[in-house]
Amino acid sequence: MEEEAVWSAIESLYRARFREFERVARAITGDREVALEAVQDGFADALRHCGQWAGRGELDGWVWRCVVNRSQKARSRRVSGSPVGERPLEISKEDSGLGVRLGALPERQRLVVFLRYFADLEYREIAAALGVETGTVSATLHAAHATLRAGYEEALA
Amino acid sequence: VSGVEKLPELVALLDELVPFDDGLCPDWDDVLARAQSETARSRSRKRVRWSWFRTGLPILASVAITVAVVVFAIGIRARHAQGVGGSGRYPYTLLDVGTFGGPSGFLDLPGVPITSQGSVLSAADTAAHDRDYPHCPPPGACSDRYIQHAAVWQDGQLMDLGALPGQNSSGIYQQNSSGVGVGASEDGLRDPFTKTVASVAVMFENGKVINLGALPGGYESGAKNIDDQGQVAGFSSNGIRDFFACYLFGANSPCGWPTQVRAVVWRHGVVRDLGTLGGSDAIVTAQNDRGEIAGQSYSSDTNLTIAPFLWKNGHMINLGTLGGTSGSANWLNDSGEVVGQSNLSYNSGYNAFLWNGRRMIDLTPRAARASANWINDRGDVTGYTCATGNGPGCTGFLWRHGKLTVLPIILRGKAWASGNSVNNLDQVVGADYGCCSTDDKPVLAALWANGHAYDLNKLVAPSALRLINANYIDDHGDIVGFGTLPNGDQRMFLLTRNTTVPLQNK
Repeated sequence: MEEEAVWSAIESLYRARFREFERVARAITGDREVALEAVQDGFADALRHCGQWAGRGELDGWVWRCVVNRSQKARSRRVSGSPVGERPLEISKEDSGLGVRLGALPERQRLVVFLRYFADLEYREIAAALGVETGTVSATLHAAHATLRAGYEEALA
Repeated sequence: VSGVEKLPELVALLDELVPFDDGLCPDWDDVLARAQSETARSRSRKRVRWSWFRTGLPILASVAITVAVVVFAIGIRARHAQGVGGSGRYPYTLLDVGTFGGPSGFLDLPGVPITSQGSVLSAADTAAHDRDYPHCPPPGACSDRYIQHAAVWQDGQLMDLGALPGQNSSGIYQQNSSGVGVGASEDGLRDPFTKTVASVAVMFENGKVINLGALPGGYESGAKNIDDQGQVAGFSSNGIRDFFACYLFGANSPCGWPTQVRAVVWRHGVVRDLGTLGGSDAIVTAQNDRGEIAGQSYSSDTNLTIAPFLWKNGHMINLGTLGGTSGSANWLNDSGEVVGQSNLSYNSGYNAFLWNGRRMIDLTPRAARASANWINDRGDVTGYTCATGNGPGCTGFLWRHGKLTVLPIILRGKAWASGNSVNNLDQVVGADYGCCSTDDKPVLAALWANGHAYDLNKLVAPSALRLINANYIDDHGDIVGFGTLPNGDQRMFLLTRNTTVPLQNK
């Protein structure tokens, strides 16, 4: 795909799905303003480095990867002193056992959940966004569900 | 895999924790600026790192980059100016219909924008500024600040049909099989009632722009349709004071037209008032190949009730409503079947109706609001239907053989969709809207065919033109609509079907 076409496709993706990008970024960073910055910076990264994509895999997944990376960086700056991955989504719903368990999930599981639930991405798109195999996505989501479901059933018991 | 393996309880929790945000999408230009700024910073860092390298190489590199950027930009411009966006690998070939030197192109609706000869009708900006802006006829109806001319694209050329003499704008609604078009043009005169420049119905024939005039006492008129016998249907003011006429043009039409408006036909240059259903005003929406005309009229000036009508054999037939006080026609087919919307009572929402030649049928009895936008010659109808009185929750529909099928939305979230046109193959085109009201602008041109929904942007080779609304599809599968360029300019597009490539999202 020519660079011009890639730019156009990236712009189209921005216009069509901005709100989903923003929602995932907000889940990662825990702050709307930071999320807005992260999404725009992520798309700017995608434009600047589109030569690196060079048609490998799906463009959407690659742009998601840029935005997720930017969101993680933004969060690590925001939560000073806390390494990336240790303090994810800022869940303050103390009455929600499920919410607490969601917040305690490992980083990758949380990201898979965000991309699956907030952006409705398919496994192969999530795989492209996180740079992992499709099978890993499936296993990761399964593990996240198992953890969350256990917590849910525990709360009901 | 999509759509499965979600825990319902987790969906609810996540919706609560990170709710969907309806905030505005920051401008794309901000992203471009960030990309350019970061690139400049990156270059600056590299220059410091390689400061020992004092040869002319960095300068040459900068020059090369600049040249590459310029060549790239020129390439985009040239490619775009050619309107080429097609490839044999895609189901559709995209053509930007273009302009006459101005920024944007427009589609005059309702009408059939593809003629039987394969021409595309539009109105295109010239490079000249409109001195009347923003006081265009009807009052406040300027598309932008440029003079526009009626245009016909055919065989790779955009032909300027001109306008009445002077610095006047014009537009075209329809062209018959003899190549005679009709529309409207500013005439340079000032309407003493509206206090703006007047616009009158015109005929485009053999390179001439013919003024069809208005009813006695009137300064304004417009021609919407012409059939193959040369009958022109449209509307005209008549100079009699009346402040309710503008409501017939639709909820989004600008008011400020303080005289009566009447549905009219022109035959051999003579204008004829078709009368009304009892009130003072009537307007034309569409005309079929049999010379039958659909529109709406006040049925009572006392109660301000409005009803759709069908004019045939010299008579205006009141089609009634779905029980309410207001109804309007959006389209009719060659069998004389009419579709539109009507309320069920004075304070209810609007439902989509079909008048099948005998009676009114409520196509969306369970909707909170709905509208039927188009009916094909087989009697199949498309439009939109909403679950709530306002906000999101609207989908396009195809009504066929008495059964309503909901057309899936492509965008996720709070988007809604509407079907604009259906051809005789039951292919529907329309648009997805980002959120949330029927006043929103479309964001994605859509095609529904064989039970699938397609983003038309994915059925063409990648292009700078984003296709945001598809307004008409013919029986060849060719589509006309409009899109936006990255700088916000609007362009008309024609999508030509490559039948060797099956429909499949790329």
